[in-house]
Amino acid sequence: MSSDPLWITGLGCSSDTMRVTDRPNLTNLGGSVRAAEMAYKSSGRSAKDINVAYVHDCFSIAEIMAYEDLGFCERGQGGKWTEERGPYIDGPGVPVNVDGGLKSKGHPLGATGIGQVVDAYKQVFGTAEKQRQVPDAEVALCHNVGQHGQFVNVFILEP
Amino acid sequence: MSEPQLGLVQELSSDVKHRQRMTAEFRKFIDGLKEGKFLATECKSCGKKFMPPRFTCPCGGKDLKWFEVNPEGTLYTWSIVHFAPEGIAKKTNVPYAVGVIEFEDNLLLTGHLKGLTSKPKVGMKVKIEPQELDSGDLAYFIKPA
Repeated sequence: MSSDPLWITGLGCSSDTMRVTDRPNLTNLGGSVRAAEMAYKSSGRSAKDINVAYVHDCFSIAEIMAYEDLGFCERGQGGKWTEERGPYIDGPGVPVNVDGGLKSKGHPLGATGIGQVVDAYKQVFGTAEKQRQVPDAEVALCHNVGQHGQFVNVFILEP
Repeated sequence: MSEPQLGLVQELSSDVKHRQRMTAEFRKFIDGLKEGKFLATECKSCGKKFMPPRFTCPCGGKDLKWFEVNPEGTLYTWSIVHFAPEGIAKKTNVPYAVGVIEFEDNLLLTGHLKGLTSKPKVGMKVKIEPQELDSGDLAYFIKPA
């Protein structure tokens, strides 16, 4: 086993309806909210404890909804939060997708989730490229969505 | 924004046809569409309604009855698409409008918007209308009522 493991301290999984129009609303992913709640509860952490986050930005709006669903900003404020540089590496909130996210890599299915964990490891052990290394990153969160919200997983990772 | 040229899906590609495996139950929905009717199902155990129809209920119920939906409703939400997906339509005029119509009982259905004379507005009266495409496939569109 590695002498520097990254531990999964929190885990949440949730599903949602197959048909998007069977959901109570179209402006968030219920699966993300429930999976995040489970992950925070099982790890004893909350959104404000997260130092670096990787969210499932299959599409731009998915990232903005994730800020809200994961508790990084207030419900309905995702757009404004982005304009205020909240999720930027040098911004006031949790740095999100400092590796460029899914979209920057063309979102290869399956591999994107692994890519998130690989980058979380680099961040937590301080081996990421200088310009995108989050200072003192310790608690990472990985958020991964299947299809359009039918399956969501949230991991909390710590050294 | 300038008024978009509102196009409609011209035909479905052949691989979509191959993927359509229709059960006898669902065929009743398609036959209804051909007669200009929108049929839905209701769970006899819990009363939940499904449009398009479903034949098992998340409550565990397996006994559902058919009912007809009034094709008129209101526009729940809408968006303009500027980049048509490949493999779904061979010829699609972009940009085109999509939306969700809300029927009675809060039933929602996604579809292409057609026949708009001005920018779509949430809450506007719309209706759903079936249409046979040149390819022989059946589609439905959401139009102003």
